[in-house]
Amino acid sequence: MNPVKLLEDKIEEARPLFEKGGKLEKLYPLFEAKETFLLSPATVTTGGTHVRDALDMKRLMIMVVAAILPTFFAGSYNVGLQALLAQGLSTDFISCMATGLMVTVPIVITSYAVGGFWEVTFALVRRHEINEGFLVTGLLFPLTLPPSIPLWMVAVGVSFGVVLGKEVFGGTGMNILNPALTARAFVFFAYPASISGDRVWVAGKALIFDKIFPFFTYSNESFVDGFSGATPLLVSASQKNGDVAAALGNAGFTLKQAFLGSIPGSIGETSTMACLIGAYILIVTGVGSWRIMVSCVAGALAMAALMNGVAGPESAGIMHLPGMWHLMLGGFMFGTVFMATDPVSAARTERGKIIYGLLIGALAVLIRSVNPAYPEGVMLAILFLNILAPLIDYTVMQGHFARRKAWRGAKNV
Amino acid sequence: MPTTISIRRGLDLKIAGRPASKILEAPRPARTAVQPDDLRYFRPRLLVKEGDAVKAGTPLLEDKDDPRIVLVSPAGGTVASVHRGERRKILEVIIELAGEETFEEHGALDDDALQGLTREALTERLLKGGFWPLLRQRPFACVANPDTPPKAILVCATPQDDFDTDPDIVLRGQEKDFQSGLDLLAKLTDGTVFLGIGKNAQCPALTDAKGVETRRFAGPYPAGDPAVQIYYACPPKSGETVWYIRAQDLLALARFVKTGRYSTERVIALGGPAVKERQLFKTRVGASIESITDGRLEEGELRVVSGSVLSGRKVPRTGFVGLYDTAVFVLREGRERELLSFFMPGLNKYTTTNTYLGSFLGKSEYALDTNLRGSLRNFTQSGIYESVCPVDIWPEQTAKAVLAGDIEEMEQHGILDCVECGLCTFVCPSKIEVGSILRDGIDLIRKEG
Repeated sequence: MNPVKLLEDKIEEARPLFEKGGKLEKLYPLFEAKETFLLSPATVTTGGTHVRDALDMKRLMIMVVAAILPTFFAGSYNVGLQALLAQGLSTDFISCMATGLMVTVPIVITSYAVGGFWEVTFALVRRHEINEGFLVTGLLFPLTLPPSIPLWMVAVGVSFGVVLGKEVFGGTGMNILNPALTARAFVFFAYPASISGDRVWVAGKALIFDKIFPFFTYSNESFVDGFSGATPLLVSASQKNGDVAAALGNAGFTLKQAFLGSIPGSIGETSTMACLIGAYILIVTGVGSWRIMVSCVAGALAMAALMNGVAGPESAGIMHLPGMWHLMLGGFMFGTVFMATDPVSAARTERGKIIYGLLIGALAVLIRSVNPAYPEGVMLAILFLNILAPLIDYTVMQGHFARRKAWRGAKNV
Repeated sequence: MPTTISIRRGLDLKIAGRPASKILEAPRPARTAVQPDDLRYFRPRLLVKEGDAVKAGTPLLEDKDDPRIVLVSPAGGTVASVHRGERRKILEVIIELAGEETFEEHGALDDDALQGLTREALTERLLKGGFWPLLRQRPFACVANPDTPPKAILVCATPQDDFDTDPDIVLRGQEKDFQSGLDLLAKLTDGTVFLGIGKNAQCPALTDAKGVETRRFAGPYPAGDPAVQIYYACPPKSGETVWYIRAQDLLALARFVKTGRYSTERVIALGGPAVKERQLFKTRVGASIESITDGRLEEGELRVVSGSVLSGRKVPRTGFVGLYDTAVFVLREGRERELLSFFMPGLNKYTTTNTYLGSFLGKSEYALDTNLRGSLRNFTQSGIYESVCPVDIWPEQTAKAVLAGDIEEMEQHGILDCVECGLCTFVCPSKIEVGSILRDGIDLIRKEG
């Protein structure tokens, strides 16, 4: 018997349980989600448009997940690489990958499980469908965290992001801020010691035990003793004056390493190359906005050039950091490709997207440059522009109205 | 050489089942019908009852708001039944054809009388004969208001899409009647009469038309739509109207004015992925669907659409072709479910994005069915609607203004320029009926006046 038919029969058998009057009526959204996950819906069109494009929200989100996966694997490899380097162990590919995955997989699973729990809870209480957007949020958020993050922080962070970043507004499509970044910002401000500084970027023993019972090991055990793994951004920020590129070189960082991602940093953010693969997937499939990505980069390069121009000998080292380094370091590329392009929290008009992107890029570099205490500015820049996006759209729309009015007045037979 | 206008945005759907361009004679239908829903904002009052004998051209329905606007019987025979829907709304007045048809006579006119016809006399004749509703107006796509002359009239002589009857074929040999139709239209406006033709039109009735401004239209669907052509050739300013009529309708109108008799002839294209024999059929106005589809459809549960697959009306298989429609499209109802379809490469999936591998294979035709291909979600993806909208409207933002009930903002967005092509609904990954929302907004503006 055809498996689809078999599954369909099973589903139809179970359906009365979940429909109005059924015993498990309250769990209908869960039933719906599972059913439409397994089998595409049999719904047919109504109204005047009788056919539809094959793209739906599930496919859209799966494509985003596919675009994120390269950063996940590159990041996992790097987490393993950094940990093994710090411990002076052999760094062959298999060991790096295995060690890395031992660290990253529990983090991602925690994020999906806890976030998914909230998603389902809200769907049940508010009786809306379970939104696929969570597939993306649940993966994006852990990739912005340092590998040494305790799992309970992941759980708290993702809860904050999903509940306050998205669900209170009415779920995917209604939120103002990017939920993954909201979660990231929450963790950053709530637990600064675990997400910034120079000790958190290299995973320590990476034992599952430490991850699950972080209370026993919270102090410094999960970090490698005596190893200071400053990120390149931190190096450039703390460099007082003079040649920042040289300082980075002294600390052992090259542009090539930053591009490939073999430097300490948040799990998914280190490899610019993996981010670019993701960008390629997003742009080719038409899922992510190239306008936002390109204008983010342009904004950052312009602001970096400006900063380099105004920097004097007394300025902090990061003021001298060339634009190319800005693109490669920290979460800039990751934020540009995956966070800024979130269609819901970004500007929704085509012209607005360009303004939105330019401002993100410029603001990210500005924050990095003038506030050396907080070198990672891209997160705040995107969140800030998320809030500004409706205003940008409003302004762009007023321009559109004015142009339309002029066109109407000018056209004549 | 006439000016060519290229429409840049739009979308040619890669659907299988284009009709061949040969015209077949369809059997005489046993029944025809008038469907008041064809006319926007028409509030029908029934003038006949079941069992009445009617001639071709006898008024069956009049508009409660303007009783001069009537829908007449497209055939001589008897009123077989009046099909009503919810709240007794009249859906169809069905006429059983008599063996020997009789016609309402309005008196033939010779060439001199035609020349001397005044605007008032012509308007009167068209209203009486039931041919006035063939003239529609922008904005609102409703029947033209006989009291306010338009600033221009556009004759649309292009097929709506690849599945529609091409006037370039139908008008061959009809040069004289078509030209006299164009001359009649010139009487109805102080402005210009525009003729919109396809970029490859060859028929002398179109290429050698006199007394009109000819515009060639090129580009993807809906470049053949009269609303799009008006938008690019002669957009009405606020408070103005532009009338339009499709080529076959003009031909019928011209014949009626000349002979004083209802003109029944109509060529209909039968196409779509569920049609075995795809062809043009010479039949009559309001013909029953069965009379042209009989024996030509595939097995299974099918949907019959009168008009375009993107903007037409679903009709039952026992239904009738719409008054303005020159195409019947038949496709499968897509109730089949697929296992984990959104994980699959999707070699057979049709999407305008590149999210399924099928997009990279360069397949030219897909046997699309009516499946929604997903579930309803909030607006999520942006920019996708503007990329296909043929006019300068931002469908998502405009739809949001409609949902908020903000009439001023809807108008600022230019909602009245919406050509109702259905492309925004087609591409929406959240499966929102964007086009229907815009339509609701237009209706609201009309109602608030």
